[in-house]
Amino acid sequence: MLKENASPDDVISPQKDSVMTHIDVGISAMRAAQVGLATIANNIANADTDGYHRQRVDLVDRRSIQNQHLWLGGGVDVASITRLRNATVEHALTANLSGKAAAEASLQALSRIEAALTPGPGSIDSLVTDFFDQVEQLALNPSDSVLRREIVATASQLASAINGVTQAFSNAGSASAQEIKETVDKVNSLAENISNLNHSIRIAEARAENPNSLYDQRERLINELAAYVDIDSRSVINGGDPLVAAGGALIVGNARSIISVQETADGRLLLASSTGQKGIEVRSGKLGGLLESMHAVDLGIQADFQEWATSLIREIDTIQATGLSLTGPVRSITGQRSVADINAPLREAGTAFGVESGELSLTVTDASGQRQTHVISVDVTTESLTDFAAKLNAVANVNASVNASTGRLSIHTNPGYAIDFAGRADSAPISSAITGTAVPTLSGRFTGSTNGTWTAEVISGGEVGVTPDVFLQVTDSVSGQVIGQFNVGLGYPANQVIQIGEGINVAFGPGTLNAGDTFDVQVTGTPDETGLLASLGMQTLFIGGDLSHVAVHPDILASPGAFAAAHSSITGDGQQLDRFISLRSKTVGAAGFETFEERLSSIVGSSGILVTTQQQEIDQRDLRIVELENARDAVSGVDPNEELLQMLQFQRAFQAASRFVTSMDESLDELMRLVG
Amino acid sequence: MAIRITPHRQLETGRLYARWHADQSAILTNQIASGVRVHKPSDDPHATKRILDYRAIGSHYAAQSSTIDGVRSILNDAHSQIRSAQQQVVSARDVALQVLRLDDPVAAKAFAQEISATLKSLEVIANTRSNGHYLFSGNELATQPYGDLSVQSDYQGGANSGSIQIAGAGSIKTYYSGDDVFQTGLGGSTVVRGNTGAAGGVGTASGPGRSSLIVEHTTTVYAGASGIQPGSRSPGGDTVIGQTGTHQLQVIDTSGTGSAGTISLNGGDAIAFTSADTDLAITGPNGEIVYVDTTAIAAGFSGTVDFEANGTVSLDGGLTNVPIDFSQTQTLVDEQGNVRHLDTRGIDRSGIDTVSMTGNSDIFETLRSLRDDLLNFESFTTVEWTEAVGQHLNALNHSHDHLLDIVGEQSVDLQTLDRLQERGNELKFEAEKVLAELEGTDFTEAVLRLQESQNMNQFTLAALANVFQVSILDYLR
Repeated sequence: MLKENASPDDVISPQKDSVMTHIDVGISAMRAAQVGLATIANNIANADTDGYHRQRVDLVDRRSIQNQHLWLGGGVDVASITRLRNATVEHALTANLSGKAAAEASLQALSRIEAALTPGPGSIDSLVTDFFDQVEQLALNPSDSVLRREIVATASQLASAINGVTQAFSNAGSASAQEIKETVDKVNSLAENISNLNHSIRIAEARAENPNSLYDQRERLINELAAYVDIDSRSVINGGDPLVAAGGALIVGNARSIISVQETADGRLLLASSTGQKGIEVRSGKLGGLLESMHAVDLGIQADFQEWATSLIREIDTIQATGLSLTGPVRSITGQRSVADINAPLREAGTAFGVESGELSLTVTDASGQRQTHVISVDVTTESLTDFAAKLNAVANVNASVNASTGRLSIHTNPGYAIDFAGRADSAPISSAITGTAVPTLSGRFTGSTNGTWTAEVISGGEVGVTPDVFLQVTDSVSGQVIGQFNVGLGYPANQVIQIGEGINVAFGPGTLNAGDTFDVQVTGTPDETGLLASLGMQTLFIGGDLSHVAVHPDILASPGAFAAAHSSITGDGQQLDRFISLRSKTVGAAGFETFEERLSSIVGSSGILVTTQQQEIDQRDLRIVELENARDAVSGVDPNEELLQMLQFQRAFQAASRFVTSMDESLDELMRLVG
Repeated sequence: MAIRITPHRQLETGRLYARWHADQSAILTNQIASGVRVHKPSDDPHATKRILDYRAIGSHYAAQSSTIDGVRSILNDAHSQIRSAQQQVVSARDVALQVLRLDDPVAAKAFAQEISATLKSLEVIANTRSNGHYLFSGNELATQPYGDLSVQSDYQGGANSGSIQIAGAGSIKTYYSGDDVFQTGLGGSTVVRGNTGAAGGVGTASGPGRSSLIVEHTTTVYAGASGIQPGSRSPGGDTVIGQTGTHQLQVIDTSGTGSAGTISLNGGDAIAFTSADTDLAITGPNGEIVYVDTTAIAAGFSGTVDFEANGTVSLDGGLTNVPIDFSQTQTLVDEQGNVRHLDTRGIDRSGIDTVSMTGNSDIFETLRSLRDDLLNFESFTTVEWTEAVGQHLNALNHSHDHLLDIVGEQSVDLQTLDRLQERGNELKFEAEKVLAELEGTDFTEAVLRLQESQNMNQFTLAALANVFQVSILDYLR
């Protein structure tokens, strides 16, 4: 325990003993008791005052008075009125109050995120599950208009839910930003008050006044400030003048520095001090909590959610873009997502999603139903949207253009032609060196995942369906791996479809095949390796360039038949649905072991962990604060019973001194009578 | 150091604990009232993740079960229809067996009507709809697969069966292609019935169906120095076809100047000719006819004249006439795109034959052929009749077996689906059980904890009420 404002010993000159001297001793005792009673009264009055430190009267005996050869006591003096305070505990308490305020601020911000992600009817997790379930059910009956409408409606709700969560992140950020600005104002205001108080305290101390109430007031302000920013421990232990806070950026003595909020180009908030310090790191307090939660949300859960939602939309849109609706290929497609710079290389052009160099399959179907697939190579590091449009334009009967003002791509075909990006096998081989009379016809859909070319070679020739052992060998042109050998000689009914493998079929009409005859088959497992279709919003399910404005394409919303369940325009074809269904089990994220649903549940769980962590922090701080407040009040707290007992003590002292003075007065009266 | 506790601190501490107890009671009350333990992620973040995972799993199994129900419903409907079709084939086979020894044309017509009725029943079966879709239209769900089957069986549905991928079962056929069920053509030998001399050739024929082989004469070229020439009606009018040596004319110049004599075909009756005949019809012993021009018969020629009679064959009703190459394998394509391999070496006359394929399981075609044969019963010899009906019986047996194969395939699929659904239901039940454990309130524990919390709250409040019970004020006077 420290005594504050202990006054120096009075230097009393030796005096001669006299009656008046004795009366003075009694009066000193009465005065001391009176001061004691007044102090007790003040203690009792402030027993419930937050931040009040109980005060104690420090009494000292006066210098002795010489009487002949004897030295008699000179009475009592009030040396000082001391505030009882444990500085170490006070500092720990301040630090914990600051920490709790930080956790509370974080909790408030994170709770908003948790609320947006909380599972329930119509929540984003249930909509994702519903979407996949409904897609699986549609596979049974791909042309079912009711199921299609249901899927499109669920997709629309999913888009709204993604918008909602994104908006919740944005709102949480805005609210935190606003709170940060308000908190900085409050910090500056408190700093000014403390500075003014320091000034008053210094004057009082210079005048040898006892500024205990000012000390309490300053400590209350410091604790109030600690609720907003961190406070340097040494400055608290040293009494708070000068006070160092906010990571050293806030220095409050007679003068003070000022904190300001600055916004960076990318919308981040930075704190700066009038001392010139920038990028202040506030370690605790509400301001610290707000900054930390913003950081945690931005880089953590918000980034995770954005990555998840972006991946989901991109994957769904890619499947939709590379499938066919009930009406089959289309004559015109207009992109629903724009690029910022149509002349910049696509990778830097500001596309909605990331794009990669690779191949894109564009199939042109003529009026007779004959298809021809064109494989377009795109180098996103050098080619712009305009360059890409030029490549599309090079395809016969296809016209592509870029709207410079909207940054969107449009494709339309000449009359009698239609396009799609499904990457279906051509009706005829892409190249043929057949010298015989038999004509091969291709059909089916490649079920593999890579793009390439298969070469079919006649190993032994003859007449189809007649000559024994007319063998055809199919080889992967890239790997050289033999896909299979097929006998189209005797025993093969001409025109019967043979399944070569991985969904590709071939049939031979009657005629001859000669040994060495070859033809090539284009196999397309990934019609769009570039990701451009989804990025440009070409025939996609969702539209909108950012997650806060995602919606289902209005054409699909109006006509669910446009949902690309098929890989052909056959009503019962649900082959594209297999890709949607496969998407359900596809792993996502950097770790790559979670499905879309599992990843989302991890994100939702993470939001709970963030909140729980802050809640636990608050609970722990609460317990610590209770302990520290107990420790503080063990020294500084007022116990009325204790004070009343003290009061009795001073009361008796006063009565005794009063009695003594009365006795001395009566003695003087006796003396006066002797004289008189 | 014994800590010094002031009444103020006692109150503050008590108030804090009282608040905690009240909070805890509120949480537990909420859990008990709702029956749900986890209302928001922060209630139990780890459990939240597992709850969402299990909800997705449960929902997935439910969706899969619903899909399996749908597939089973379609397969059961198709199964039932195919069984009916099989019964129709059995009754048609019974008819075929009965008519094998038929000798009454009137009865034949009655049997023909019975077959027509069977054909009509099969038409209804083949065009059956289930849940708004044709059961036997393959992946063209909305397209009626067949028209009037009494005339032709031109399948309009999808070439491929409708199928669905089910995890654990792979691809399951749902809507079968009518082609696969009723008209499967596995490939076989070409069978020709008729009098032209054409026969099945070497090679694998494709596709079901029966088509007419039209053999027509085009030109006749006479060998040697007889001076005989084709008559003006000869192109297309001669009924003989064949390479040199197949047919012969016997010419006897009775005048010695070539102005008159007799001619016979293939040893048939001799007919008198004169040098004025430009288009003389000569009929052979089997009714075959050639038209000749005898205006330039070599004087004194008497002897045998070989000739070559060329012709064409067509399987598409005459749209495409292919010159006969008199080979062991001449490949033709009929109107349906079916490929037939003919042995045309033996063609010796024009006419119309019927071409089909062994292994043909086109039920409709078989029944139509049987019906037509019954209606034309009188045109058959006993041998031909027995052969024709035997062929129909074989085809019906083949169709019957094929339908049983389809039924078997469906049964296997249904069995697989049953097992899968059973397994799915077990897993769904397990998921729901785990979900209930994770999500649901443990009422026993919750109620006990609530009671404990309320007790603690009562104790706290009671203790707080006693903080100022003892005071020095009570003793001060």
